[in-house]
Amino acid sequence: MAGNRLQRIGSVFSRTRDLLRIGVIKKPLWFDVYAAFPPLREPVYRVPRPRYGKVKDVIPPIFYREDQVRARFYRIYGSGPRPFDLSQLNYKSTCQRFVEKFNELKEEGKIEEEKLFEETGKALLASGIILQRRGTDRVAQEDHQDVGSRDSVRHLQLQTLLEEMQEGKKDQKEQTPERVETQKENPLPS
Amino acid sequence: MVWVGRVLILRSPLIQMGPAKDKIAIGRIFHVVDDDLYIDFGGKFHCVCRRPEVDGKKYQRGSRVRLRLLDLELTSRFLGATTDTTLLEADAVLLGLMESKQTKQKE
Repeated sequence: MAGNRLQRIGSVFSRTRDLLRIGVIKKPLWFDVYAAFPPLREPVYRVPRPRYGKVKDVIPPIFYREDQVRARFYRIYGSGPRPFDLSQLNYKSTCQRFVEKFNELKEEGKIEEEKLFEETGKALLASGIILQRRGTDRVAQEDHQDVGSRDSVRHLQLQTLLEEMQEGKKDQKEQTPERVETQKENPLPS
Repeated sequence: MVWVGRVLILRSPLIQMGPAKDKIAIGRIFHVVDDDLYIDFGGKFHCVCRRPEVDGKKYQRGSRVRLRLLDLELTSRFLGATTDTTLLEADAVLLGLMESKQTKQKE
């Protein structure tokens, strides 16, 4: 099942010494140095002492400022139109583009806080990334604006859809729409 | 130094993806055992999926597939245990083959 439990048997030095004696590995560079100057305590695995009472291991959670935007993005738009290709080193997912555009618009400062999210969506639509709404909008926003904003976004989506159909690139699928963004930005290895 | 690590993680696409539940990802089959496909999608662990009936023969070593991720690591704690037991595997649903760029450029 879970593979390597070997770190619990003896120490690194004893394991290497025995493997060396058998003849399975060749002598590592540090072996003679360690043999000449061993540490004060041999690094044998010791079970950590169990903690009782209120003593807790303090590991602070890692939160970024972008996480709020990301959480909202995923709640509204689901996974995103493009599947994640993590094999590429500098992969930029749709969500990441959204976050970057959001930060750009925020730094410009011309748009107010509540509108920022919708404006980012519209900006992405303008650059060719279609975002399909999947969840309901955030509760914190005004509810009466919800229907209006959804219709306007859908209208924009339909417009871009129509443009692409006329260009002859569209291929209608049932669930998620095809990825439409410019290929030069993210060349996928074929 | 802690700051450097934090920024490295910030820039990594895996962390930018966030929680893996219901995210669509692209994986690559790196091992096949009869009907089991071992697919690597770039997370810590690979996932194992059953070969689907539709286009079964097309799923060979090296094919790229679409997955819906459910869990990055299948772990749970047994009653009375101090630590979780892990399967060293991720969990995903196989959606289908990845449409390659060649088929798209023909249009």
